[in-house]
Amino acid sequence: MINSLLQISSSSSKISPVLFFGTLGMIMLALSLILFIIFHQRRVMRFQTKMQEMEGEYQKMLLRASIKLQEEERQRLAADLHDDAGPLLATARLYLNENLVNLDKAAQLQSIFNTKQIIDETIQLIRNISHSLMPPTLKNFGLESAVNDFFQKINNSGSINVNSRFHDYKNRLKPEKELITYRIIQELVNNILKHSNASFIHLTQHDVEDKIVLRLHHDGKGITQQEFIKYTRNKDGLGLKNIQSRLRVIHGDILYEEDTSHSFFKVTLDIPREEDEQY
Amino acid sequence: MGKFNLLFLRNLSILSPLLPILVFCFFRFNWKQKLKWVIFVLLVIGVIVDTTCENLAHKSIPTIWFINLYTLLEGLFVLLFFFLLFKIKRNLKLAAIGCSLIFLTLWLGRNILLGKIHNYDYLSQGVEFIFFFFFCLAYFFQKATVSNTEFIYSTYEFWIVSALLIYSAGTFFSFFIPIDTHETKIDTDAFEYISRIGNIFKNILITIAFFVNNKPSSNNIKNRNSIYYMNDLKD
Repeated sequence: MINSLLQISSSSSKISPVLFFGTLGMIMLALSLILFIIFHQRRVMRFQTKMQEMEGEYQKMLLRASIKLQEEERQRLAADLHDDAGPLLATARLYLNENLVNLDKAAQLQSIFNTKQIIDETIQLIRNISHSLMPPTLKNFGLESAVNDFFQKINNSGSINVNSRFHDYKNRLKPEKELITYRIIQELVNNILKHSNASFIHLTQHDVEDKIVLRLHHDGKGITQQEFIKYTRNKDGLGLKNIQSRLRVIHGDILYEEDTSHSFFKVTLDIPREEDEQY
Repeated sequence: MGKFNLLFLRNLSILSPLLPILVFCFFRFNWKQKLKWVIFVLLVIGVIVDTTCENLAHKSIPTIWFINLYTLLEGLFVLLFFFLLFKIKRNLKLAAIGCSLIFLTLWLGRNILLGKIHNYDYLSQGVEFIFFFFFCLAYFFQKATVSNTEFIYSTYEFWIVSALLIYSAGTFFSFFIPIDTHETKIDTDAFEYISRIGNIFKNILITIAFFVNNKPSSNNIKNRNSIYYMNDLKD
């Protein structure tokens, strides 16, 4: 087109330069606009793809952490059953061997008594394993009671003061949501006990609009939100990754922060209530 | 040489719509693609108008009124194309309807009420191309702001809009020249050169558009399901 226009321009000087340069300018503008849109969109799409890849990687990391936790839990269960329940039942079996009928009455009674004791012990052991998997207090009485029970056990150790106050927990969350929330609180408290060297932990609960807000205060060495994000994106920090993946399941949020007075650290959990959990 | 070039260009320009028409009919015929149908019908009308004009011109019968009628049809069809193109944006749909009404009123007022149908209608063409510019820019602006998982050039709409934009840009400036200067032979030839080349270029881009079939947007990352993740984790 430009060549033709130049040809016209050279063959006849009568052609209006306004027409020639105007047309040329308009075409250049249109082409520039089209190219700009193409390159702009490519750049935006590259950025989006990169973001999605990063998100995918992060999801994979969380899933890996969750699988690892599951495997560890299974290993613990297997170890408990194999190392504790196994020998106990084997011992009970020894007491009840074929020779038992040939023993005198007193020895028989002694063997039966010992066997009964061992079976009771095994029952208690299995109950403990079962409780560690699903605390009965949580199932029967809800999150508040389960947390209080858990805190009571920690308080009994005498090394730290742990207490909780639930202000608006009249309507319970759904059982699976309660369990996840309980596990998150357990993990958070365990982390504080392990790493912070705190002298107290205080948990409060409030209902804010359509969500439950749980806040943990402690006076030990804590982490901030930036550090939390950093740890969850690192290869380490399995516990924190589990907190994150559990929160995703219940669509919750977490915020780690230091108190403005720099004397406490706070962890705030926002857990949205569903329609049928509202009151 | 100049005369030969112009004649050659004129014939090439008249025949050029046959390329996208044939492509659409024989390779990419699809009832569901309404936008392609609008452009297809416009191309068919263009071929009929061009060939008829050539025949009438040989018989020394005035053809300006026929070209002016084509201007009306071209404007309305392209505005219909933009009306269908903006699927979600209600404002742009309304703008397309509004522009169609303005354009129709202007054309009827000048050509019918004022009775100037036998004079070349630069005014309607100028206004028509301003509307084209506006909607082309609106389309590109929309594409630049809305995040998409599909490359813009993998959609046929992009090629059609590009064709319209380049065609409008290439021919638009000639409307700024005072109408009197079009009376001189040199400027009339230059004007024809530009519009013929613009038309050929437009038809090439529309041919590309007819070859392109939009695919449903795919996103590898989003579409991954948990099974894939589980398999990845096993690595």
